[in-house]
Amino acid sequence: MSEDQSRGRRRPSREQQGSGSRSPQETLPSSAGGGDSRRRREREPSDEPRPSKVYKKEPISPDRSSTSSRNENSRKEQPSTSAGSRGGGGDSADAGDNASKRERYEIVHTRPSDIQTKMGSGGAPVTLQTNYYRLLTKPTWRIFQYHVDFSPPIELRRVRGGMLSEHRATLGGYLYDGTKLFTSCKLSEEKTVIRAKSKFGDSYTIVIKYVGVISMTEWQSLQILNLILRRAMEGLKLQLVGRNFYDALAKIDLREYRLQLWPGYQTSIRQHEKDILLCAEIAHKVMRTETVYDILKRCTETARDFEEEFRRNVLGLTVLTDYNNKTYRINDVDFSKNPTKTFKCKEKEVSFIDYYYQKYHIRIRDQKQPLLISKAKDRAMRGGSSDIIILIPELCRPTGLTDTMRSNFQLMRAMADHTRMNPDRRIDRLRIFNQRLQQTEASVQVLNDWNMALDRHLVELNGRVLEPQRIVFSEHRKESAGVQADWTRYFRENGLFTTPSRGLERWSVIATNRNSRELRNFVESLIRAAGGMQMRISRPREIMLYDDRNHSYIQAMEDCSRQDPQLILCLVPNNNAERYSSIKKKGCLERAIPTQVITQKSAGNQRGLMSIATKVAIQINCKLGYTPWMIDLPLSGLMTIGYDVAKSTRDRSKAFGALVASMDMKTNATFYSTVAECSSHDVLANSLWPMMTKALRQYRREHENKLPTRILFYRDGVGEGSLRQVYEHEVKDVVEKLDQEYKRCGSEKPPMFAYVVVSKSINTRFFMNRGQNPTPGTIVDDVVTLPERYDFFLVSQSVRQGTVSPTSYNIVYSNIRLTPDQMQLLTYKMTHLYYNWSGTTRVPAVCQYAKKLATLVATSLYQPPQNALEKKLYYL
Amino acid sequence: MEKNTGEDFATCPYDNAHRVLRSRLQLHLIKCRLNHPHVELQKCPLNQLHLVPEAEFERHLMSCPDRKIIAHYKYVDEMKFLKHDPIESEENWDDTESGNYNPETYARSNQIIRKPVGPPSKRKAFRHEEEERWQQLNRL
Repeated sequence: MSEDQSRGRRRPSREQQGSGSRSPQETLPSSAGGGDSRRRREREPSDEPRPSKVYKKEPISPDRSSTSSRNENSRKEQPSTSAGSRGGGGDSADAGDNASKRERYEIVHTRPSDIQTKMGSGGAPVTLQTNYYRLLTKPTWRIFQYHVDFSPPIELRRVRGGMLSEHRATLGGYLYDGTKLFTSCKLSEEKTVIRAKSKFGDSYTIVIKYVGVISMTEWQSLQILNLILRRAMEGLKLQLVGRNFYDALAKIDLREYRLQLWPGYQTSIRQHEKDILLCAEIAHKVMRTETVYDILKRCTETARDFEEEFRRNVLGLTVLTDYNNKTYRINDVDFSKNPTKTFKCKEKEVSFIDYYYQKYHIRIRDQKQPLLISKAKDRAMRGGSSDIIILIPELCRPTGLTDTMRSNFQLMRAMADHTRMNPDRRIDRLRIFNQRLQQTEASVQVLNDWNMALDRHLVELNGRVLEPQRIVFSEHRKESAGVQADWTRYFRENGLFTTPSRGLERWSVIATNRNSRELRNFVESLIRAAGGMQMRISRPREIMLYDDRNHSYIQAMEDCSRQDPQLILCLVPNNNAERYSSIKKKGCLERAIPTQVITQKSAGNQRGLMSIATKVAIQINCKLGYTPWMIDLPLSGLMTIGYDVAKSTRDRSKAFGALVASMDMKTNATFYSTVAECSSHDVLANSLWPMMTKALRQYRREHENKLPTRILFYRDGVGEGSLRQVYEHEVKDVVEKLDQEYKRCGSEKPPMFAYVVVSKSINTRFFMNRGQNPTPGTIVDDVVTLPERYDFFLVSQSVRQGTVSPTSYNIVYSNIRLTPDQMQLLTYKMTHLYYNWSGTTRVPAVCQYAKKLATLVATSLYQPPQNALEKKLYYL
Repeated sequence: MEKNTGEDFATCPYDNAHRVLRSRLQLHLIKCRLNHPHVELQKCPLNQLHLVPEAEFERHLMSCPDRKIIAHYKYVDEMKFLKHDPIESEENWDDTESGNYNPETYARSNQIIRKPVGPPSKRKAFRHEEEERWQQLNRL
């Protein structure tokens, strides 16, 4: 060590580390730079390119410190870097030595040269199947694009398509997506005008204008491939709902819940890492069989003021109208009007009844029903359509599940029976899909016409399974998480990583008189369970209530908080959201006391009591700000950050963004969290930087004024469509501000930073051994990844039922200087730290925490919590 | 439910004539910034959407509605920080100096269909480039 130190100065970024012993040394070129690289070689068996060093001869000049100089003399000129205070004797001696030479050498570290592959190599290789099919052949010729205009315009796409198909002879083989027309051979004229007559005798003019040629190497050609596939799927007699095809014939009726499940397929053809692949996923559409009119009737029967009741039920619903297959959102109800009312349509006054009959052949039955009013969506408005749309209740079917449905456990289970599929069943369904597509005559015809052939077998690829990680318990005892990544059973023997030194001394429990027996029972088990994990819990102060009104709970909490308790536990009779919300508001907004709410049902559960008590004890430990377990991390000075957004349930124009950051997990096992209100209009985060500043400031306070060396940012909650904007709006800003902040704090180098977009809702699935879920820790970074991204898939969780869904990680920005292997392993390690679950989670723990916190604030608190809590996991 | 229409629109700070839907403002700014390189606006450190002229910047800083993000942060009580001895790990990556992976290099040198981005003029140029690139690739 001493030898290293005398050889040169430390790299500035490393100076943030606490332990000097292991910190690597940068060497001056004069003193064997080779030794350094040899050492690095030994540690890194993979043949990564080393940073290129450029040796520049440069006379001493005073302004050199402003550049990223790494020479020790330049440090004198630095005003007050953290490095300055640490200058060892060896350094100064060395400096003098160097100063004697008139010319000095400076190492300018350019950024290490790019690596050639995003593939890692760690872990055991495994062969996987995935829900993709290869395109064996695809059209290779050029395709001509046209723009089609109908005048007068025709609303229905299907009708437009039908009109065109009558002119098949003039067009030859063609594809039509509603506005664009693609043909395989060029039409004779630049602008073809066709006069046509509809079934009802109206005459139309169709203008087909030439746009250009598309070669099959262009991005647009993928769109054409998708169109061909869609055409082929039409041959399967599937119905298009939204973007996907569903099989109305194979629908599953859940009559008692007035629901239908339509099985269907989500398909997309994309350019993947090497080939163009077709991704096929089994999807289900929930269709409600009742119409808005049914809701209206129900309201008139039950409620006294049915108008008010109907409004309450219907406003904000998204409805689907079968006649044009579009969705609308209901913004208002007009009780003063009914379908006999007329409106202006093509310079004529038409009543709604006539309009629907003429246009769609639909007869409206009840002529007295009120009308629904929907404001046009942004996109439709930009397209020039009118901003108010009037809908008929009878023709509108509400879509999606309501909250009451979602909380109906039986309904959800009945649905899950159909929608949740084990891997073998899913593979089977995919096989059937492929067979249907390749055997139905109409589909085969389309595919053959366009020279497109699909593979019959799923794509096979090589993945890697990372080793089970080791979980660190009290006194740094380590246990392997096991193949299934579950360490529930180790708590008894090992105890929690950190607990309050004097245990949980001052705390209160609140329950109703009626539940006093359950309460005592539960507290007893809690103390016993915690004792088993070497966490001391003293007897609590009990407060018994005579009733279960919210006010009683709040009053009792107020009484307790005078004694400055460490925690308040509330036993509640049921999971009433309002009561939960008031308790949390009291604890997080007014008093800054962690609260634990438990329902009578789980506290009174005799058989599972001990395991519930164990979980609650772990949660309590976290809420106090301590850590149940840790992982071993090969990096020091690392800060991982997770960010997620949740929309407020009370005020739809608001949303809450939560940021959770770890504080160098090598020596500090706590998390910092902060919440900011934002607008629900915005997809991208506007106030990321102030939140990050807070986290960085906290880090500095906890680590003797040092800033993290590496920052790894996991961003959740952005869709694929806005990736570019995320880069422009968020990443660029953060990188720039980080540079400034580090400079301001006297650090010579900005942190090594990576920004990773995490997506959970993806259609990719992996199967192991032809019908099993891959084990936790499976990495895929080839074949199905995208060529224009630095990305990988990770299966981190283990599921007992259904198919596991992998998570996709897209590294949109990185100068973190870790190899792909290390990024993957680090990400996997980070999924082990969610303390509500003694197993791995689907996303990195910081993301999961951020989501949890954002949801708590958006659904219960409605404003950012007290900052005295921000170092505790109070939101668990 | 969205309430009145007044709140749904916002005025672009680069050009007063630009009235954009509030939900499109972020995307609009990304584009409009490129179209107005000469307009110098200060970005509020608390909210990236707040772009104000230099002269008003000071005043905005004092009255920014997002001050609440940091306002209550001034009052923090001293806490003791929980630290533990460093956890031993078999590996040490501290001095890894790996380069970044640039997907473009790979996509460019292989038969990959690439996505054009940017304004129409750039996309057009990109299409020509791509044609040449594919020709070269096919020749190899």
